[in-house]
Amino acid sequence: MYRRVLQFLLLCALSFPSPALAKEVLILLPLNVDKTLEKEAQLFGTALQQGLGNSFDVFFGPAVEAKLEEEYSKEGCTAQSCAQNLAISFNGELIADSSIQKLDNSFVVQLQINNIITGQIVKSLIEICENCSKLSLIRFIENVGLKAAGQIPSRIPGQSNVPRVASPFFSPAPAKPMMALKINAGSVKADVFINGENLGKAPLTTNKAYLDGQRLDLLLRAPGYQDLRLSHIVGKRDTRLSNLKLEKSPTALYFDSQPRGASIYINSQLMGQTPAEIGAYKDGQRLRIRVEREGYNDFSRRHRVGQDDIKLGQITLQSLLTNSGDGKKVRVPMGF
Amino acid sequence: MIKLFPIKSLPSWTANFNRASLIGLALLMLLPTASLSAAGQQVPNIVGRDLEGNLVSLRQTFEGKKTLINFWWVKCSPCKQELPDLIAKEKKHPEVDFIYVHAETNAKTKSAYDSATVKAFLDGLGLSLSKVIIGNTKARMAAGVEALPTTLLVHESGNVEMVLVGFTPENTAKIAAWLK
Repeated sequence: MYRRVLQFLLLCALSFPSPALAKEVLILLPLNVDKTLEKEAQLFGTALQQGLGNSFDVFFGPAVEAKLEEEYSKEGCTAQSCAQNLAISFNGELIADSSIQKLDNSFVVQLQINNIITGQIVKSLIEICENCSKLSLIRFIENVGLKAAGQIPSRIPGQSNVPRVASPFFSPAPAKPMMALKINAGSVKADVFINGENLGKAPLTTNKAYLDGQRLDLLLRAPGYQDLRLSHIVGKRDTRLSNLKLEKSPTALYFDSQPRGASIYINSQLMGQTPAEIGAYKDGQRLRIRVEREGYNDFSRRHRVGQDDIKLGQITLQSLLTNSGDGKKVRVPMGF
Repeated sequence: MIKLFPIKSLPSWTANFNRASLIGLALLMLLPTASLSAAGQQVPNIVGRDLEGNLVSLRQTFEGKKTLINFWWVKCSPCKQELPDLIAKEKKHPEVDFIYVHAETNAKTKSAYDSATVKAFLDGLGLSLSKVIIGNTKARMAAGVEALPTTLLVHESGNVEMVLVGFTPENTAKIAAWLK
């Protein structure tokens, strides 16, 4: 009996959701970067977001940018009122502003977190990554985020004259693999956009590496095809990117006949009278088409959209002929 | 003990689960999660504007006193009915803080209601609320509030003691008992 009660209590304890402490919301504004770093700005921002994400619930990227645009387009928007509306929109009172500048062979990473309600500067950091490559800068930025989030102890006072370089100062963060992506859309030479940046035509291998776990907005665009939009997490099913399929744009079918004024039926439904443009239909879609007019033979066929569409605009209806002998009507073979 | 899983391939530890424990587990899974998400936890932060249009947050407004936080909305009828009752209680208990959170997005503007609209609404009803925070739906969801009106009874420590959903005689009585 006791054993059963114990088992029941154990299961009760396991099944109750633990009261996890909610992280504080932080809104990370788009990174200010040098022109030379514009291409990597999104990547750097994501790295900073990941570092800050250890202690904060971080809002960053398209959602923040869209809200900023919306606010700045409003009449009478001031820097303060816009920032306040942003804070309300994301239900957070902390706003982080950051910048990266290249000086000689080093990068200066600046991060400031403000409490928009109290006006207090919660955290202000200036860190220098000396002799850094862009690749090592990404990890450095993530560590700046971790430091701001209180995950890495601050520098010991008195050691401020020690050159600030990435490796000795920051405890090694777990390395996130970087990877390039292969994008292929079969025979379609579609333009490939990642996070709004045009990388060229498919098939291609990205000329930049992405962080494992990074979320990318992918867009493939080609004339005559529907845009293909994907939200892709790097490292998860990357192989699907080399087998993308773009759907052809829906087609409108043009119907015309000799004589005109014939009724057009598609899948037994009256759609209009010739001449008419009717659509849109998917490429390859099979339709039952009938064009009829009194006194003429019906034109009827199964049609596959995309194959000989042009012929639907050149239908010739044969008039019903009467045999002079017995007076019966006979149908003549139909055709285009 | 009845073995619920007589399949040989299952691990041996599954044999220790008896019917009573599994029924208990199933019942717990059926419990409404709304109450679990808030009671016993720290009061959530909510950012919005007060009736004068100043930016405020629940954290900054919370003074470490026993606090009643009422979530309401201008278009919620039970909320409108409840407000006069709460105002009367507020007058009777000045030692308790009453914070009224209007956390619902305006469908027309797709953002939080503006202070003037909420103030005009309250003036129209002849109601005067001392501390108001006007946020959006995101703020309400962050607080785990899924229905309106919802009242959180908060301890001086900031821990939510009770979550009361709806304006009902039972909830009114619970609030009165908590205020004593």
